[in-house]
Amino acid sequence: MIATTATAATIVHTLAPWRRQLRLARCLRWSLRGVIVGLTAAVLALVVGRLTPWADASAVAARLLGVCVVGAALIGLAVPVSARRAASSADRVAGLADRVVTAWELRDRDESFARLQRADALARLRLAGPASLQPRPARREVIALAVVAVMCAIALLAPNPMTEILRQQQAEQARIRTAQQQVQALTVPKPAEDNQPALDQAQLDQAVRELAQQLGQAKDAPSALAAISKTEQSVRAQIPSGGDQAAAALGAEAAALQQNAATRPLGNALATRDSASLAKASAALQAALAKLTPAERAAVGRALQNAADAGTSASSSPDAAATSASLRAAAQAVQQGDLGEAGAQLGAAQSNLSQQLAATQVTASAQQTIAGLEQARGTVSGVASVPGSQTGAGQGSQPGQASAGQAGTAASQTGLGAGPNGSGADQTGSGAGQSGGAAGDTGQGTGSGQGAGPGQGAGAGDGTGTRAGGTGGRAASGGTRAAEPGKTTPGDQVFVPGQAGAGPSLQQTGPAGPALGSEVPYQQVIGQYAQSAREHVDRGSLPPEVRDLVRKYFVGLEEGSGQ
Amino acid sequence: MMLDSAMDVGESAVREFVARATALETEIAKVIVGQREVIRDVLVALLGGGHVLLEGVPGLGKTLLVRTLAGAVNLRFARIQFTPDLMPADVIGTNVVVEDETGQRSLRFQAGPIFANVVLADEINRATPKTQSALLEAMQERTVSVGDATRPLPAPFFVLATQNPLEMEGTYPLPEAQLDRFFFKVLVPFPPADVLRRIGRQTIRPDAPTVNPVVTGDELLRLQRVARAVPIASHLEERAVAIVLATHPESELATEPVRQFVRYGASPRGLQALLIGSQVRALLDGRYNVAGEDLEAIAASALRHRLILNFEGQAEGISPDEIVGEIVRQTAAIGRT
Repeated sequence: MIATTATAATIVHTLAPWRRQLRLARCLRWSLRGVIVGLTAAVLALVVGRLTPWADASAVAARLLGVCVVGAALIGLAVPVSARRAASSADRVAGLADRVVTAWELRDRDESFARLQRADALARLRLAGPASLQPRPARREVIALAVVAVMCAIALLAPNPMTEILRQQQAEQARIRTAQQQVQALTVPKPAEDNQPALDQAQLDQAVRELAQQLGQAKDAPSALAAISKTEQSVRAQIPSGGDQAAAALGAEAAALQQNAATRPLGNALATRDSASLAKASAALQAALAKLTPAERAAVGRALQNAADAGTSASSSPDAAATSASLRAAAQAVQQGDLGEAGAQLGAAQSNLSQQLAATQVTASAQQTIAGLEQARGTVSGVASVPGSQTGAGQGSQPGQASAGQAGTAASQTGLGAGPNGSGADQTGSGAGQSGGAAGDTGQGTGSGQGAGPGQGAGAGDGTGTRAGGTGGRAASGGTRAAEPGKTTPGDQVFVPGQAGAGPSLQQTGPAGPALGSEVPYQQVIGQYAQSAREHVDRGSLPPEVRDLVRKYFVGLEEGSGQ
Repeated sequence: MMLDSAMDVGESAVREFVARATALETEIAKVIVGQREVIRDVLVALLGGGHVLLEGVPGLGKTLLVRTLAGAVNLRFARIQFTPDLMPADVIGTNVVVEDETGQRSLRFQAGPIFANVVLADEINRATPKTQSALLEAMQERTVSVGDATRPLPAPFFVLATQNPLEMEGTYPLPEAQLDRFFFKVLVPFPPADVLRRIGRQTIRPDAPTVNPVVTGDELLRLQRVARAVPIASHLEERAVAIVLATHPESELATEPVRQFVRYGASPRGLQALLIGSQVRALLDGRYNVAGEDLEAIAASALRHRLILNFEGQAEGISPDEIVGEIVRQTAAIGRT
């Protein structure tokens, strides 16, 4: 006799262990599916990381895998297993011939046949037990897991062509950050200098701050270098014309004034570029004139006259001329004993000198900023940035010496290059150079010029061509960077090693260069060339290492241009 | 969804069902050697209240099976040998003129052999369609109409027809309407060697086994009612419906062989045969519910004669059993979730 008192609650209670086991099995099955999906997503991320430089590809892949597995397991646990499903699974697994699922459907029926059926089903269900319900992954899931696992292992273990690019990018970013810090250091408030216009200093600081911000957002070295170049140009634009001559004139005037005891404070103030002391010294001199003997006045007058002459010879700027004129007038008035006129002229001279002092201060600040920017540029480009080191200080073609160069590469076809541009210090002369076209064509060029300056410089030429206004121009070399730093000696003919091009050279005898004294600044042309080159390599399908080579080449040229 | 059970059946009724069915099988097995599946299918049809068409080559014991069954159920048995000249009246009976003692003449219905509980229509495909049609009303309505009168047949009423698939000359294949009225079409296979040996040993003995009646007509009717109360889970009902629908080439559930080789699929009578046969088989297996294996076991017997093959199917020699087997496999997952 079968006990027929089984109720719906009894069925639910008996099915409870089956439901737990099914939920566990579902969690495991979903976890396995999560692993498959996660590995697939990870493989995709790793593949993308092999096609494009993506530093976080491995980390993202790991996160995707984790999220998919955990998410799938939670879904498997969260979704409840219905009693009917548990009943169906029990029938299938334990071979109960649809007894349990039928009993579940008959749970509310009160017919004797339904009671019989429920009792029979529960008796057999209790005998079976949920232990027979072992989670077994489907064959296709196991195959899919194996496939994606192998793909993932390959994607992880095989050499990644993007690793080197990423390393370079990271190094580049580190250099950019360093350069940003260097630029930010330039913005540290400087001690107030009362003789420097506040507006100019504020403009400099603003330009530097904007550059630091741009560097913080720069994604690569070219954009950082472009920002630095742009800032440098704006800083250079703020340098007053004739700033260097004004400094020279002030130095000469200070030296002359220091020769006399009465004008020495004035000379000292000029030497120290101290505008306040200059005003005090001027007032003191005006007050002291009345107490001086005629002989002493005459000495003061000569000192002022000497200072005026020194200023005239050192600088031809209008400010210096005005200052010299005031000093001469003051000297004449002192020698004639006209103290009133002497005081007025000294006041005018002091005012002119103060303006010159301000101009020299702005120039110094701008040059200091430019030096800092050059350092940042060197940091970004990864090249040691020692001013003057790349061009060989003091070298240059001697007057009358021929200089020769090599034709440019076929790629550029015009032999664009940079080479030391001889500008011998305090030497003048003219030279003629001949350029031999290494690419098969020949070219001739003559150059004559007059060099003057601190003894170093940089220039660019197109291989041949008359450089009428050049300074012993050296033909350009193509292909590689300019002369190696420090390996040349002054006066040597330096052939910058370049690679001969394989194609035709367009080296031709160039047109006459600018007239004497009207050189085109190298910076004006190299920037355009460099920008054009960057655009072309970015658009082209060049290998990354070739792109870097081209970029570094022009970075070197730009650095040379800034010195 | 459950089949609605109108009757409340107790455990004793189920026990009686199993006992009687087992006794019937045992009695028949005393005479019929082997052919257990055939015996089981015939019993399922008998307990399900349906008729059976037995098909097999001569000499396989079809007629003996029917006679043995009739002997085991203690019911009135009639055998009709179908021949081309057999007339409907020879089956259902006719009105004859009789004269009473006073000389008064009147028409009196002379019942035919169909007025029995177990009717053996032997070689049914040898009779003309007209005579075959005489069975239509009897099999479905369980009544016979002669003249203006309609006479009920005795209950239970069970027709077992046989036909020979080989000798097709001079035969009249049963029309689809006739075939559809058979609950099952059971194929009687040629016995294997060991069964043949046992047949040989048993039939040459002088003391042939005798069959004792173990079930009366009333008991058989009660057993039929018990079987109808067996519950069927909703997913199994869905599967049965899907199986029947899948036999129709225009159905979305139709398998590729059905679309290619079947002209008409099974009728709703096929679904009834599937469900009722499954209920009986479940009880015979000692279960109180229908299982998927019941549907799978009887699907071929219930549906093979209801699939009308098209010309291509007939030309290719396609077996309806293969088509049904494919359908059963394809519907196995229904209701598993």
